[in-house]
Amino acid sequence: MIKHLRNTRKKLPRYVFLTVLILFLSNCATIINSLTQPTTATVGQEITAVLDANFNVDGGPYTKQIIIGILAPKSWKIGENAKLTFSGDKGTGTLTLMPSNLVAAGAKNGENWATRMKNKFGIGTNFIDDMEWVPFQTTESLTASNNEKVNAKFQIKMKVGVDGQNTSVKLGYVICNKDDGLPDDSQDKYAVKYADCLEVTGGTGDLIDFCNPSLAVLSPVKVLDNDFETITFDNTVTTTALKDVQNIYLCATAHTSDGQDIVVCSQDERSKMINIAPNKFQITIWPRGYFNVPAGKTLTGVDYYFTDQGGTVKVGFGNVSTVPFKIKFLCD
Amino acid sequence: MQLSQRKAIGILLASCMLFAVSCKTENMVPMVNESVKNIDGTWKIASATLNGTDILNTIPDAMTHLSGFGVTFTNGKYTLANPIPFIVDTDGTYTFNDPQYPFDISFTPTGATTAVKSTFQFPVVQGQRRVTLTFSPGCSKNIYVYTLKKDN
Repeated sequence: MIKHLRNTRKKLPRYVFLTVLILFLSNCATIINSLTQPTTATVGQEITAVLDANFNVDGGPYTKQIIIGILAPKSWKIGENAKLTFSGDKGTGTLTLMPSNLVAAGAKNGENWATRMKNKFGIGTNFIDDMEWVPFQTTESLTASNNEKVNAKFQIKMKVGVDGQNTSVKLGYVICNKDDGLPDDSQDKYAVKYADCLEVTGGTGDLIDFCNPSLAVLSPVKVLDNDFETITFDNTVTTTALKDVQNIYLCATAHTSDGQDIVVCSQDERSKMINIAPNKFQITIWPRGYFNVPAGKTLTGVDYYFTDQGGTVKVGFGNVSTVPFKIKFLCD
Repeated sequence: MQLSQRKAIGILLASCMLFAVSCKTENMVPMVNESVKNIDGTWKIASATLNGTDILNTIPDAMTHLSGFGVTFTNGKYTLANPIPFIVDTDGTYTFNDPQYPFDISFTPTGATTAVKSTFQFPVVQGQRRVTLTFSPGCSKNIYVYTLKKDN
């Protein structure tokens, strides 16, 4: 018995050492030290964002491919409009767009990297769900030796606002490696950071504001007249003329492709919005049915206001009563 | 000695015959052709999703009018009742890519020259056949999945 205990005592330091080693081995922290990105640009302009990152390796050596994901509006097509390079302790190199058929590390449902990033981070702190995560990977694997602290600066050159629309948006950036991916049980394997609001000007049309909550939210964001469209009126965003009004109606005018207008603006059961949360109202329409569009005609868009039961108090775009909110029937 | 040899040959022959007789193919499963899938009848919506989100139970029916919708299949023709966003919006004809093992169903509205295709599933739920159709009537990124059950 004593001999057995002595044996255990002798072996104890070894066990402790092994446990600590395993802990260290599984510890490889990815940190974003800083993110610099302009906050203004014009449509189609190339901007440069720089991510200064550290990969603090405990244990190792490790050989891994590094992945950078960028969150941007879908219509910017960042996959085609971004060039990524890095420089630092491991020399220089480039990153290329990851193929969409590549399954993300640890993806339980076999989703690809773009979907995995979207599921994990959503649209960050933005307000319109018309954004995508676009993943890039280093063309070669990089090796970090035992306990090395590797620094790298990732330079992201991207053409913003290629859709030609005035936009304000908070772009997002994530760094991880291809083996560990974005695990749910450990937060130091990846690092994510969102830039301040980037204002893209010089384009056409009304501002598409991802940065701020909006009075009117559309879901899905991109529809045709033959889709269901849900319009949500968020009366908590600011003080509107409809403050504390509990019966809200949709007043809408549809435009046909041959230049006709179809108005549905009577305050009745059809146009009444349902209360989904305190001071939040919602209506779902199938434009072709709602506006009773004759066969063979198509709608190009809808202008709409929110009104009270009398139809006299109106709230439109920019919280004014004279400019309508707009739906354009366009796909990506 | 000779006798035992003869015996041995006899036993050998007998066992050969036994072997031959024992290997007899038997049709345990009767040879039946896979049935042609028949969807004749009127079908109503049992579940509906748009981009993965339930739209049948979360949105008032007064807005979506999903419960009123019906499609009737008879002899290769279909008719629609109370239209909503669907693969087609006027009556016409339909065909399966393979009547025995259908994976696609094509709808051709009367007067149209091109057919519109949807994936076709024919699961059994609570002993009843359901028809599950996946399609995009508007923007191609908006995916609708309707599961239909037979209206009695």
